[in-house]
Amino acid sequence: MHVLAFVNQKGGCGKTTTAVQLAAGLARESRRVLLVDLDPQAHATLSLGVHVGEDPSLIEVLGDELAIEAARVRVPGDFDLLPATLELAEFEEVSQRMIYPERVLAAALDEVIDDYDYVLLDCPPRADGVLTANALRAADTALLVVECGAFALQGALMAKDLLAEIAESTGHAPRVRVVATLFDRRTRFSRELLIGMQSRLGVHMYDSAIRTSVRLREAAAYGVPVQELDPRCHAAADFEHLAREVIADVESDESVVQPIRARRPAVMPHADSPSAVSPKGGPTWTL
Amino acid sequence: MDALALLCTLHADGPKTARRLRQAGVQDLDALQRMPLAELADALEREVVDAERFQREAAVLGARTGETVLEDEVAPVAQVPSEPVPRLTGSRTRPADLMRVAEEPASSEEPASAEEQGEHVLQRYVINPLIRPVKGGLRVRRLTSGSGNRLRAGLLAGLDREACERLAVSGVRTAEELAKASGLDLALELGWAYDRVFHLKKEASHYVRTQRAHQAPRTTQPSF
Repeated sequence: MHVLAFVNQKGGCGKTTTAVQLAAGLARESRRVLLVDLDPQAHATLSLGVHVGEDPSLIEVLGDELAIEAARVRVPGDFDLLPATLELAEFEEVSQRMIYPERVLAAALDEVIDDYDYVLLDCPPRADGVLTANALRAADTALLVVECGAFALQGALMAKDLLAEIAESTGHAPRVRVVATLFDRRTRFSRELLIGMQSRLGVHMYDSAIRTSVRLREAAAYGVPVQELDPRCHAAADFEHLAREVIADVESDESVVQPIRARRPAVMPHADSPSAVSPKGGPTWTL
Repeated sequence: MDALALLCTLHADGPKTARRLRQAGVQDLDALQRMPLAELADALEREVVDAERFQREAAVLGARTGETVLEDEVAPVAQVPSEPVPRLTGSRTRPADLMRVAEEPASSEEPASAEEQGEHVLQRYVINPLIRPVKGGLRVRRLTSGSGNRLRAGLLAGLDREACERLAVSGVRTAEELAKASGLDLALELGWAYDRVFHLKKEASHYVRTQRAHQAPRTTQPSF
């Protein structure tokens, strides 16, 4: 199982869109895919037509109240989604009572290691939160999503440094890959930025640059991947290429396969429920 | 992403084109520029004209990203020949091809004509024989060197001696030529920031207009 985390502390750079469409692209390449929505805004969940708050979600999994098997839902595009809710934002506070809060997701994913070929983690737009730390701890590849916009190069370099710092502090260093998004070939500005990005990050960059497309926005509004909405549009082609590139990159490199060990962290008992015990028999915490 | 993939993203259909080129045996920009046009057109599934344009863009991108031989094969200063370098004929010379200024004192005597100035400038540079000229050249608009206000240091704000020499090599020797030249192409050819060229062009246009106003015959006030 390969785990890819989509990260960038900047919002609006295309993390969620890339995660959703790449999940669909990998599924079309006959890979078994789980998309985990780690963003409390739940945009990945919404963009796949899942109503937020109606079904079991990631917060129950992180709280050790549910297994992933019970919380995942099948979505258009033929892959599984572990949906998010707004309550995910409270995990930051709850995690303060945990000993190793950044290891919870990795331990949960270990239970479905045989069910999937790829797990994609859509991170919130911040790099210092415990949710992103969970994603980076579980991931073997950190996919830095960089838009071809103002300050993109500067932001990408900062994010890359930040990833290195987080990797050092968590003791786990996923390899970094970069994908350029919101590329508009018609504008000189966009072309110059891509040249700049290639010169600084070229060895880590995927060849596929995701072009801007109104189809992507429409697909999110309809709650389906763009491949389902219009398989012949250039956005669908871009993600098809990206999926093939990711497969070739990840599956040809044996060094990225890092089996997730069972490492459900010990949890400090909550002050109000010192003897709380999870259904699985381990210690737990309450929200 | 290597430079070939970048070129395909910028000027073609991205990874799809890159894959086709790699299948045809093209692994980098250098190989792309060496490829016969007809073969390249076949690989791209486009016309020969498009293939030629693609090769031109590859040359420009190669020079910018440093993938071509420009960066690695600079002739060391110690190999500067003492004799004047023969003037290149038949192909235009880009300033990027002129790698180093020979460390010889500049002549105190200014060249008399624009032609002599061009010769003088070429002799002060070492031309790297390993660099192949760009096929088709760049698109700087060449104007016939005629009468006009010859560029010299201080004539325009921001115009120094080195800038004059580099402009002269690019075929821009007078303020009129500078005012009419394509700023973008000139910036690409000289490797200057566009705003610098834009500023110089603006200054040149202003200078030419001022000169024309001074030279225009003064009309007498009609009397009624």
